[in-house]
Amino acid sequence: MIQRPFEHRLGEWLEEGPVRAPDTTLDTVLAALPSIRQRRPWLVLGGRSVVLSPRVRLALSAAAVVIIALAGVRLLGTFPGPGLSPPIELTTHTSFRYHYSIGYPTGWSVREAARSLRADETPWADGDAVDRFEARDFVRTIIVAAANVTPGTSPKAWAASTTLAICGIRATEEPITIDGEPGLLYTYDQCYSYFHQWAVVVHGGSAFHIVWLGTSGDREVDRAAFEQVLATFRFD
Amino acid sequence: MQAELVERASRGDQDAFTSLASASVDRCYALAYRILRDPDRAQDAIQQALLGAWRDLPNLRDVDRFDAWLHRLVVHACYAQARSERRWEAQVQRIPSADLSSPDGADSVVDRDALESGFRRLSPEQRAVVVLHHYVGYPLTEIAATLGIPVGTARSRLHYAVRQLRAALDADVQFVATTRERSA
Repeated sequence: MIQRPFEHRLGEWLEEGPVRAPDTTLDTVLAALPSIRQRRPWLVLGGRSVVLSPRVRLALSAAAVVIIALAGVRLLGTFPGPGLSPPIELTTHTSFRYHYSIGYPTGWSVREAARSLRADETPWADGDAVDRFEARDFVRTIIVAAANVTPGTSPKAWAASTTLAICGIRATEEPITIDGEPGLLYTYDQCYSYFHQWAVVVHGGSAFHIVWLGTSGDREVDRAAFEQVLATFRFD
Repeated sequence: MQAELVERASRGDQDAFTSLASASVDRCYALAYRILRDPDRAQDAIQQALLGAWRDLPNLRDVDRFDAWLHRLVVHACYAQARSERRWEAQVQRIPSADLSSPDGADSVVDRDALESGFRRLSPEQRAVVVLHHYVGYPLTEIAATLGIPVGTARSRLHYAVRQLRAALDADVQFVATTRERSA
């Protein structure tokens, strides 16, 4: 028997398999585009964009961190620390806009959404469509928002067009239950420089984002605290 | 034409990006599928890659390198998908799946099985180089430029990957020959 060259056999084997993407692939991507901000180059000089090297970005970021930390010291009189040790004491907040209640860490500030989130909209932490709960040292933030969706929308589909579109590749994904409804909890190590724990859940015609953002670096504390917070979440 | 679309898309023109994505999605999927060997993960990977492309397009300096840049995003999305798969390192037990009494018909099946199990044992980085070279047809210099690695690294990855695949194939051929002798 004449043996074909190994490279030919390998090439033929690789040729086997699909060459067309499933039809839904592009639809999901295009549906998510309006909710994704493009990242612009850091500097624009003389009408020409300048992309900074990672080392220069790192240096500028480090300088920014030092400036922010110094400002924090002036404001708070101390360095911002984790300041959280689960189990934590929680205070209940009820949202009449999004029809839920949640326990958030006592002492955190609360800022309610001024308008409702659109289905195709990213729940930016600094936007006015999210309920925001924030630690005094700004190291941790919880945001909650909901949008109207077609009944029957699955948490996975909701996440695909929102969560995954914003933060990219998740570090972990696990099924969870929030007030009896099945949901999904995604974590992202670095999404816009924040450790994210992003829970999604659909209740009736509303799809919820419940997001914990942290920069403390102590993820075990963050996980335990967020788990405690999620356990208090109720649909009203 | 493509450069103009890239320029427009980088300024936020979603229609232009839709055209670019439509023209690229099948090619990207074929690439991702061959690296990951899993249709769902391949779909996830290219969705992430395309969304990353939209997000970071304003930072693409050379619009004529869009295709290579997109390939790099796809490959990196595949790496991330592969690393999130806990069973990536799972060993595949070899079971003769063909009718071994028919040697001619069995050989191609044996090839496929052996290549499949051998390929699954490669690292994501090795898989990418094998696919870019033997499926996409890139020379080593283009692979290196696409992945942002030295040519020597690309060559080394390809060399060791192909050696492992050869060994897997040889081992399976030996395995099947032994099985035939026993069943004769």
